[in-house]
Amino acid sequence: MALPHPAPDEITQPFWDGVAAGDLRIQTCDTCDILIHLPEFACPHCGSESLGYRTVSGRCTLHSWTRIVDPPDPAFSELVPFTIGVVELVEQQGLLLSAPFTVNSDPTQVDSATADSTATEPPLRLGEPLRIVFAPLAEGAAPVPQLQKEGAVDDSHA
Amino acid sequence: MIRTHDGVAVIGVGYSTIARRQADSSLSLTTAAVHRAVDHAGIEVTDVDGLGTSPSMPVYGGAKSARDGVDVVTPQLLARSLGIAETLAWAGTTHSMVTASFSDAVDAVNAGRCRFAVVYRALTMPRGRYSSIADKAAHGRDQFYAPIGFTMPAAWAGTVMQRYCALAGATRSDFDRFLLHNRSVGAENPRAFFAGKPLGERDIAEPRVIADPLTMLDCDLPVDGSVAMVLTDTATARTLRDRPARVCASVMSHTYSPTGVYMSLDRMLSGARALGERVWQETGWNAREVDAIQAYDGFSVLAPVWLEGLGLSPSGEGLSALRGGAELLTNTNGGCLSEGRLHGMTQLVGAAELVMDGRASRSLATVSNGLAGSAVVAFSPE
Repeated sequence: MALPHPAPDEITQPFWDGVAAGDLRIQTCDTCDILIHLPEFACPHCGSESLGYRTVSGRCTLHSWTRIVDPPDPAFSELVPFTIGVVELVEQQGLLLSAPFTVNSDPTQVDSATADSTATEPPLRLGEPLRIVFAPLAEGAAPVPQLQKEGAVDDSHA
Repeated sequence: MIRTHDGVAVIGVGYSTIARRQADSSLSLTTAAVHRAVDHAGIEVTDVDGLGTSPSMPVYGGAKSARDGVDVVTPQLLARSLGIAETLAWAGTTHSMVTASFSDAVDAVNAGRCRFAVVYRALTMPRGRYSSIADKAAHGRDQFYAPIGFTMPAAWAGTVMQRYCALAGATRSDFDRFLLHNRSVGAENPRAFFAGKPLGERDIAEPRVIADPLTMLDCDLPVDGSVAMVLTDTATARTLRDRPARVCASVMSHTYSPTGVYMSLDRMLSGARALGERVWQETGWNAREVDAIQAYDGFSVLAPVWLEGLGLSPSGEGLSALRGGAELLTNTNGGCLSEGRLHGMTQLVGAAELVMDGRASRSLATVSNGLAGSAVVAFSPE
């Protein structure tokens, strides 16, 4: 069953163009210079409607995570369990982005025996450095941002 | 600032039966709840001249429509069903949360637009799977969440719970002890969906995991049912009962989360803190003077976040305050984890009842997660 795919609009198109090109392009406010994600119609900080995009490093730290066990839709039945991380981009404090872990960086996929995330030695830790890579979650799906542990080889889901 | 809240009190509450799927329509469940509420208040249904609600379906999933009386219940339809359409002076409808309807009803009574306002919430389970992705082409905000399977509120709450555990040094078992206590209290509440059904050790040992660390036991259950509350001016209220639950503050949050995730623990805590400041300003109380709180527990982790954000317990220690035994009364009806998904009525009713029953003199209800649309209401007999 096909996974849902992003339907870009005029505000979000540059983000998805970046994903296709292998770049993380984040919306930025021309007036107060802050980075904005998800993309907005107006800057949530100053209200300016003069907004552009900037390519950022893709480096980030782990803010939180959850292991999805119950598929949110039948399309995800063959992917569960998998881990979604919420990361903070290094370019701006508090700028969060949600993405799944790549197969080899996902503790659920590597060793399900250690997947109890509140066990004494969690498989992931807050503040852990990660980087964002781009790949489809399944064959034929649209590419999406995914999280890879620093130093890991490119091992995205597809 | 115009002070509008000194003169309105809750004088009665009423529940329909609460069950997963009911043969009775949402309209007839609501009519039953209103009749029980006016009986409890000691007035006649023909005295009711104001009706307010949030006539909306839950936001997420399932096959939804808006058939009046079946999926939703508007004040206009309810007024006809109660036989008060000709005398209804105020009808209020707000989107998404009944807490806004409650606040509007307080203002309506206070402004003299009606004398006896009933605030009600009718909930119906949508047919089909509660959580699903309707459209394969993900538009709007969904384009960042649906393609990665991050569309379930339970999964968003899972990330909040994970961060809470990591920062507080809490583990799954700390939540288990809260859940066991909460459901044992709820088992004694005859109105609750889980009346007579405390959690067993086996339920706790092998819960169905939704989005680890969050399990089925951490989520309130969608139900069919309706709840109503009667409000009137304080002078009238005192002729009807010794201890009406006067509304001392009713404040709503406008704090937004960083938008790369639907809920973030840090912003929820700061939203709760900001609401606390406004409640203390309106009531003249401080956190140590509160003697009861019905802390919203639509997801278990929200309850300790409210206690800590409002300063009713030290940071990272909200769960122990919720396990009972402390001076502060908490979730005395077992919360919505016991009563079912009533979108905040559990907390509003519970906090008002503690005052009416003489069990508390300064009682708080908190609803939702601290972010925009969330509310805190304060009740006192004075």
